[in-house]
Amino acid sequence: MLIIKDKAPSTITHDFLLTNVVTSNLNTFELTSPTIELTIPFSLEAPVAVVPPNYSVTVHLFKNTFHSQQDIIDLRVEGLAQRNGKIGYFFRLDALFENNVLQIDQYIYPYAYLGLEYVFSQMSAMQTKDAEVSSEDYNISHFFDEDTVILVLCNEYCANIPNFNIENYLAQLFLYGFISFNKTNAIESVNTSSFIEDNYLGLKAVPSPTGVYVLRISKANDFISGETYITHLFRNLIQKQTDPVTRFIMLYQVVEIFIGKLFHYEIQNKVCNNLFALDSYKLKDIMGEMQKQKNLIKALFNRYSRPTSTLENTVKAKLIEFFVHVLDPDYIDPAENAKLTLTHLFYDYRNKLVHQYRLIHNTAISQADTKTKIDEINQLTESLMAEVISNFNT
Amino acid sequence: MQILYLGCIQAIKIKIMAVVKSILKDERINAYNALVEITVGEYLRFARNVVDSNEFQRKRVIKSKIKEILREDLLRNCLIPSIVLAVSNEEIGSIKNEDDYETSSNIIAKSIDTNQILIIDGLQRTYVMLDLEDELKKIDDSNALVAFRSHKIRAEIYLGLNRIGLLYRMITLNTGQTTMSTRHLMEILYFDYSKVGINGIKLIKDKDESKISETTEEYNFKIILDGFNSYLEKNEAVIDRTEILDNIKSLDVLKLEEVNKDIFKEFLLTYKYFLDCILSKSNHWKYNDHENEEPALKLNSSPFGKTTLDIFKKSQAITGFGAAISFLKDTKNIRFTAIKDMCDSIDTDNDDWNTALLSLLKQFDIIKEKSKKIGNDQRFFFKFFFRGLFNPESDSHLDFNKSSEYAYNELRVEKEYK
Repeated sequence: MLIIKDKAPSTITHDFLLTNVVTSNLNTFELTSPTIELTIPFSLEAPVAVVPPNYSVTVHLFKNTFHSQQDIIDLRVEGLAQRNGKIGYFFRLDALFENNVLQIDQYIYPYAYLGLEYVFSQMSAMQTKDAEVSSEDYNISHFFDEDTVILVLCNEYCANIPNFNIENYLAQLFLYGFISFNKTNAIESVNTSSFIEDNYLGLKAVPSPTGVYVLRISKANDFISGETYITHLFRNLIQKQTDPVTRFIMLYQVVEIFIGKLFHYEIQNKVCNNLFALDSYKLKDIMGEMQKQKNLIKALFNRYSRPTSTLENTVKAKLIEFFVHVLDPDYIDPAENAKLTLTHLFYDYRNKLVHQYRLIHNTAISQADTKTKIDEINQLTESLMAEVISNFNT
Repeated sequence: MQILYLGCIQAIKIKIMAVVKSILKDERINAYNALVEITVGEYLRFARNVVDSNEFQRKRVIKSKIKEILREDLLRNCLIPSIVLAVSNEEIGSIKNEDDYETSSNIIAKSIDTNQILIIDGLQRTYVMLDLEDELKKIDDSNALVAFRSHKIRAEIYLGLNRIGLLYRMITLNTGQTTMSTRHLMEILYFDYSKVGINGIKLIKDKDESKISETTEEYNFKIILDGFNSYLEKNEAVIDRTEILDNIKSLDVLKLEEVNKDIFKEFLLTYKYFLDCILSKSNHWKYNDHENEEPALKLNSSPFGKTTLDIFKKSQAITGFGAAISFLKDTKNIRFTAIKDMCDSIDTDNDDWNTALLSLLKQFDIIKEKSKKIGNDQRFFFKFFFRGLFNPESDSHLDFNKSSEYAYNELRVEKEYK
């Protein structure tokens, strides 16, 4: 459904639903309203192909600053045997209505067709912009942000993944630049780090004359599936502009969730499953280790959810740069700094922000530079947290 | 007061009687405005023809409830505001003064007869009246039909010498609930060019069956309008829906144009001249993938255009031209005649048009790969291409290849291509 408002000051709105599809050399979706005499046509700019019956789709809205208009991303899930794991496609929404932009073949066509049918048929409007009544031609950019990317997922293919829920894949998609949004949750903050850009451009390493590129993601890990804060973070929070320090704390919650879960997991493995091999001294040592957050973070980064080395090295370099910039006395020896681990630096950064916030307000240092450095660390932390979630493996 | 007997409509010879009540002159746009009284029946006889034959008239957009109320009111002989019509006819110059009812009446009659009348304001009211007439015919209520057809309405008819003048007036008057864009007003105003052409050039509508030949004698009507709109809006983007601000910007351009010149015609003839020159200089160049041995110029996707005309007859090129020429007129006072004079001197490095055109296609290949909005970026490219080509102060002045490089560099920086 699309909604069109009367011109202000009227507050009347008109609901437009898909009432007809006209097939000629193209398929044209016609939307009409019971309250106003106006027909809005949208033509899918691709040669008409057969849409197999008994298939349905669900559409989700994303943006991706690195996605070119002609790109079509073929989304696949690792380990899914059928059809090489294919579950859907990402398209730029406006490109579906523009001539000579996308190369949609007979296999991709059903996704494009059903995706548009879904968008135009939903009883709650998915549109991201307000449109006003006009007798002139409408195009899709009157209803959706120009850079809207739609993910069209085949429900029947997704059903092959037990308890499939797109919410559990948002972190993985974030690593390739895809950010979920909707009208009430606009994107205010975009991660433009070269790490994410490289991930996306990596998909296009081999040029494709058809503009179709494959993105393979892993099945969501049951260990953290349904963790509501993680969903909330990637669905609603990460898009928002926030104070830099608050933003780091917001992101760090992911680590807090993992170390809480890892505590129980480690106790289960090291103590419960190994009870008869333990004596009181060994048990005390294990419990002592488990009490230290830093040890759990170390286990997280080193064993359970190892970040990619490029990201790890970049985060470490940026954290050291920050500590040097704020004249932290713990970081005066470059040779020693170089030996420090990600766990040490990351945990120390968190502690310094929480317990020694005054450090960053030293009048001898540039506040603007401090803010820039925290912003850079935040962008990398967004990627780091997304990787922690995506790579986690017990 | 003058009684008009208006000519035949379709195949049936019917005398339409309208009464010209007053004629006033609009000195600003050098046009007359005639107020006539006409019965609903007489109005609908030619209005139906206008609505049916002009695909660019506005679409229906009326609230179902309002339509129902208006329908009931019309059956009770309500008075509706004047319908505003317009006529653009060469003979309008022969109207002597505000008392020349006879000439004005003849021109109106002839325009209705030849279907050269435009509905400027009142189309939605017209739709309701047409629907009501159909409905009464369908239920065979002859008493109600006769009564309805005999109701009188007023119509104001603009008799303009010049379309730009009419366009100017249409925009300034266009303050209704659903405002029309300059682009849409132009579609209505220049519709007849799609029938009669300009100096032998054919303008073909999307709905026409005939294919546009690959010559400089035939063009897509909408694409030429896009280009002309870019000239008026000073913007290469295709703006296809209302924004009052755009109309205001157009007014700024229109009010500076000479009232007695048909700039639409000049625009098209200048572009045709440019195409003829390029076509001849490039020796009717055609893209041939197999002959393209230069690895750096190999294309990854299908070419933007396969011939010189295929490239330059696209909307992206013509809108870019419109925006560039408008810019050069404003900043360098370069007019259409000067552009035409320059075309003969366009050249390229070593007169190697094959490399020049292949390089241009390679640039379009990269645009397609990197662009976040391909069509817009292509239009942007052409705007700078023509600015580089026709600006005497530019380093790429009259150099095809250098203009193309200049345009690509401007685009790359502006759109942050990596």
